[in-house]
Amino acid sequence: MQKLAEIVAGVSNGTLTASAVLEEHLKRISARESEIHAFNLVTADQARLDAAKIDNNVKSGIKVGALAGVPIALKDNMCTRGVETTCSSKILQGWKPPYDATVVTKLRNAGAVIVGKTNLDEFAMGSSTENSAFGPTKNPHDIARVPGGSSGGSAAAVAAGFAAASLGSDTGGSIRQPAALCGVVGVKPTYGTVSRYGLVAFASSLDQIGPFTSDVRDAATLLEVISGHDPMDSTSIPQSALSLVSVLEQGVKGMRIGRVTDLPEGCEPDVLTRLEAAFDALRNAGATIVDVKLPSLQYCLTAYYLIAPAEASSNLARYDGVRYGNRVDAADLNAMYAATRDSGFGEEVKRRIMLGTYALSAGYYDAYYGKALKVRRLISDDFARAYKDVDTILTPTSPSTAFEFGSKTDNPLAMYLCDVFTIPTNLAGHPAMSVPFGVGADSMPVGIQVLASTLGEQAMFKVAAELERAS
Amino acid sequence: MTSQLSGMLEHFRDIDALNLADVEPMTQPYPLKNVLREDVVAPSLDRDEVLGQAPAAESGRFRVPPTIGFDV
Repeated sequence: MQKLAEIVAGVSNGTLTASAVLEEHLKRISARESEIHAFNLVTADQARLDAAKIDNNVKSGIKVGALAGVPIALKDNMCTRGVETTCSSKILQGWKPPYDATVVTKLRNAGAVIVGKTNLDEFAMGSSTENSAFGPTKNPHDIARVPGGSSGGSAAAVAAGFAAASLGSDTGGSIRQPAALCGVVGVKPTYGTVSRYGLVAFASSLDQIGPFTSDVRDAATLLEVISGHDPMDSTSIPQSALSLVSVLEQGVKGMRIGRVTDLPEGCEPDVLTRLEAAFDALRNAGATIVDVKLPSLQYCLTAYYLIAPAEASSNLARYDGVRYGNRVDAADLNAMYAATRDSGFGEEVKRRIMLGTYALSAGYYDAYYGKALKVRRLISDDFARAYKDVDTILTPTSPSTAFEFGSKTDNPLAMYLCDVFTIPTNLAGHPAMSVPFGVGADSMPVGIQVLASTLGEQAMFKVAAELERAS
Repeated sequence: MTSQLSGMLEHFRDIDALNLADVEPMTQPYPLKNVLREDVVAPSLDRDEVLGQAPAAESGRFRVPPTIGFDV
């Protein structure tokens, strides 16, 4: 399978055509998509037109962009004008947004070819894609297992070679955990570096868009394209795009890498073995391993599962059957709201809306939501202390390799524990990425998570590139 | 679902052990001030395109079931 960098180089210098590259990917989609179900929608016709246009530009000597001819898949919670955007929810089935998300505009301007919209847990709530209203995505490495979630379709699309890269969104690990389980690279950038304009909101203070790719360099290239200030997103950090590709060969000599001594329990031993191997690789490359303590980490799950549902319960109030999406008719307005939501939302979404409204309700606000916001501060302070002594921190991405379908669906708390290593990053607003680093006892991919401080993407990518060289 | 929700709320009591009296709540990761744009006309969404995606529309507006004047 071709990497993003090879496609861009080939298409730009005329040794490859965007159309031929696209057809190869579409061929793989026709061969395996019926068993994987990575996509909610494949936009082959439009992709063919877009690829032909790029080829024409190359022929006419018109300069093409940094992603010329790269087939890219989009998580189906990013708005595409005139193209169905469902969030894998019945309530939005059939909805065609009247505008493009900023990331979509940036991809198009850079010459990317959008091949389709990928499956997710409904409204990005889940860790396995089993909460999709349209059925789960299968892990391309073993179709009896989940691809992770919520961006499981985007991770599977890259792992199966359906797209050279994809975009996902990460609220509590929804890019990094599926990347780990599918054996690809996944990045959650610093909150505010990639515009959220046109990303359907789940928990607005935690959501961030990021790339899936088959290697670290491709992730750096793609993140450079989609990052940068956007006036359409009021939480966008006013700074120019990230510069990452230039640091990849710099190595880690002299860098200080944090090892968390009070890591939450419950991680599988074979995953911890890979973490130790990762520390060894970095030490061999000249880095120093430094012990750090993050005592509030054990409270992250609670803080997250109060804050995220609270924000979601407010954000999802917009699905009322009035302005977009589906409506179930009833005699009066309130009955219409209730009938629409009852039929349109799946079980997990309802569960989180109820949790969120409960945590925000007058009698319980201080005991739940108010306290969770204070715990969020403690976590952020813990990280700030740790980053005085280290440049990056290494943890597993997920406590286990990909699990089998149905093994956690009866116990929401067990499913939530999948996110125990990824959630702290979102609460702090920091960047983190998952890099494939060998396999577990079951021969399934293991991902190592590299964490860094706010806007510490360069340090994070240096470490990620080193791990990739050592794997 | 009731017992699942109770189980979760029970789990969430773990933070009761923390002394949070002097801790400042954190609502967002990046301390940005209110953001305003220049007061100039910019392209906006096409009304017909937006209303075309609504479950029901009439005369350039969203149409909803009765909100007043019916027996409760």
